[in-house]
Amino acid sequence: MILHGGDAGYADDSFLHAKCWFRFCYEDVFNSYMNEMEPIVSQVPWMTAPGNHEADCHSPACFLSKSKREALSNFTAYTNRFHMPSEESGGVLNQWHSFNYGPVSERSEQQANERTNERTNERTNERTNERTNERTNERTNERSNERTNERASHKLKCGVAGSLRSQALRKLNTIQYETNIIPTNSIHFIFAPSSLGAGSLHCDGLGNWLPGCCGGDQVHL
Amino acid sequence: MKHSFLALFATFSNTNAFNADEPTKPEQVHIALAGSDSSSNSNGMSIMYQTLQDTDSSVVNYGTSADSLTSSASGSSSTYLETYDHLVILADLLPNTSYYYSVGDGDSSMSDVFSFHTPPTSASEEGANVNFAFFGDMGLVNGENTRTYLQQLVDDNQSKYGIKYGWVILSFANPNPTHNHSQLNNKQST
Repeated sequence: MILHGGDAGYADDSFLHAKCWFRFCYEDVFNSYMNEMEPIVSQVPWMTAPGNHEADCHSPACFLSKSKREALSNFTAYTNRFHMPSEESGGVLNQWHSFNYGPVSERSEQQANERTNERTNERTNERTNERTNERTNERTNERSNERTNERASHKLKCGVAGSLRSQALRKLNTIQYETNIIPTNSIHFIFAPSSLGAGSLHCDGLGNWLPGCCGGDQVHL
Repeated sequence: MKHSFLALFATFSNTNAFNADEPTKPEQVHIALAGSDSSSNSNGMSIMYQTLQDTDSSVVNYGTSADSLTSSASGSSSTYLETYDHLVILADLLPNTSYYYSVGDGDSSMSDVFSFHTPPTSASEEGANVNFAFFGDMGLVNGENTRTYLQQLVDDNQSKYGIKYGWVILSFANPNPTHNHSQLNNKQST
């Protein structure tokens, strides 16, 4: 099984590459990325959380085209292209969800719109925003956590968070929900990311923090 | 600076997704766990794929033998801009079992046969070593090495154990994961 903490295809940054300076590349890049992943993720479950790079389209093409901008706003591409077990686990969209895998229970939380919502708010219409905001508030998150925790209290727990930005969440997970593992993506200067080599891990201790992070399709590598 | 310059002119290895001559040919097949039974054991699988043009139906034919896809499930499609996202959920799957499947319109436009292995039950595997691949970030242009590495893990695991739930931790923090993992540079994604 693959846990992917978000910032998957970087379709939003495609315009930074010369090939996409004069044409709209967002969907092409997303399609290509998904095709590149197919040999792997047609075989094993690909469990995802959204990162800030799934949030919207900020290329010049999207600034010029209201229809493109709105069609790609507010995690729309991510919401449509992926389907996580959110309904089944009392979560929301593909942003909060949980599932069990053998003795392991996993919970995903979306932190990216803490920041991107503000930005997205200006770009999308009020109706969508209200709905999204209602769904992405603390209450939902809390409820989802409790429910997951209750159901999986006897199990080992792994979590994956998109764009984890606060140590508060980290503490909350460790103390309140006894999460064992939290892989995340972009950690944004909150604490120094460490990386692991390939190997196996026995899910048997509390507080195993495994921040993944960083990188991706950035031109300033 | 040198790297910045090179990256700007990087070309995509495969930007030509979709063939207009075969607009209903399924692409981008991927799967995800979908729901549990009353004992909290995962027993569902979401099957997702894309087509350029919409089709009358979204179908997955599946079974426990590659030669005999005797079961069939249907789902739905939607679009938000250019292409059509198809979703079919397979329910009530057996635990710890290999399934084979093909996706498409249920008629003339079907994909190759893929396979996956369902998760074990929690009871049978209590205390077992459970391994995952995990990472954040990737990218199309700079994610190639990660994908190669990931594919290797999938293939190795398959040949070694014949099953697909033993997993290896993979942390991704650099476009080139073959580098020393403990020394990965700390470029921040913004």
